[in-house]
Amino acid sequence: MKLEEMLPKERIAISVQAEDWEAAVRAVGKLMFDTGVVEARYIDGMVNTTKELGPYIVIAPGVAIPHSRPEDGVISPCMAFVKLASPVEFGNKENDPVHLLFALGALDHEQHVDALRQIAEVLMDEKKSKKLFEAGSIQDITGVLYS
Amino acid sequence: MGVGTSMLLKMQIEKALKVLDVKAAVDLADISTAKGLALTADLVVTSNELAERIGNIKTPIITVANFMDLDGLIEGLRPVLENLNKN
Repeated sequence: MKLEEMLPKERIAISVQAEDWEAAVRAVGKLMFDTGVVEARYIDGMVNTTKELGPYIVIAPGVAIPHSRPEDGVISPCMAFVKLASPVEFGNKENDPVHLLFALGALDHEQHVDALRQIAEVLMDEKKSKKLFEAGSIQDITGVLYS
Repeated sequence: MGVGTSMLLKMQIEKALKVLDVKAAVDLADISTAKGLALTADLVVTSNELAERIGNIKTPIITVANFMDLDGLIEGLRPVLENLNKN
């Protein structure tokens, strides 16, 4: 599945205000719920997973990938992206504070591989990664992610 | 769980193994099955936080903080894999 389908611009937001990690996870989850790809309980699922695995979902400096289990209310395979107005702490010594959140909703383990691979390519590319952190518009984000 | 984070780490490990020219099967585990799988594996790769939960086992454990740091992962894997080859 292509990243554009998994993560359309309707599920990308920037300058999102969140006072703590939970508000940040709920904000990115809301993008999924509002576009009909997850049930409301999936947002709670992501919050609970983050409570359980908190620091583990911060996979690189400044980047978290909140997610929950498929049976927690995924309707169709999806991702959502949020760039926070100001960063929040997740409790990961090496990688805090978090500026960017890529939320995942998968129905099986393989579905995300292509999309995750594309995201990993972007994050490992210093120039592209910098563009995400400095993005001032949704177009800045899609320009990096869809290229 | 294990849908996102472990998949991402698995992809990075597979890339690193390719660079190191090592053939290996990389299996995913969530925290509930990790300890069991870890006991039979040659090597475990996880984060600092989850390594603590796996606890004390004989299997070598490599911890990764930045999943996007492929060079760091390669350098972490290299000595452990060389050691495994000796045994």
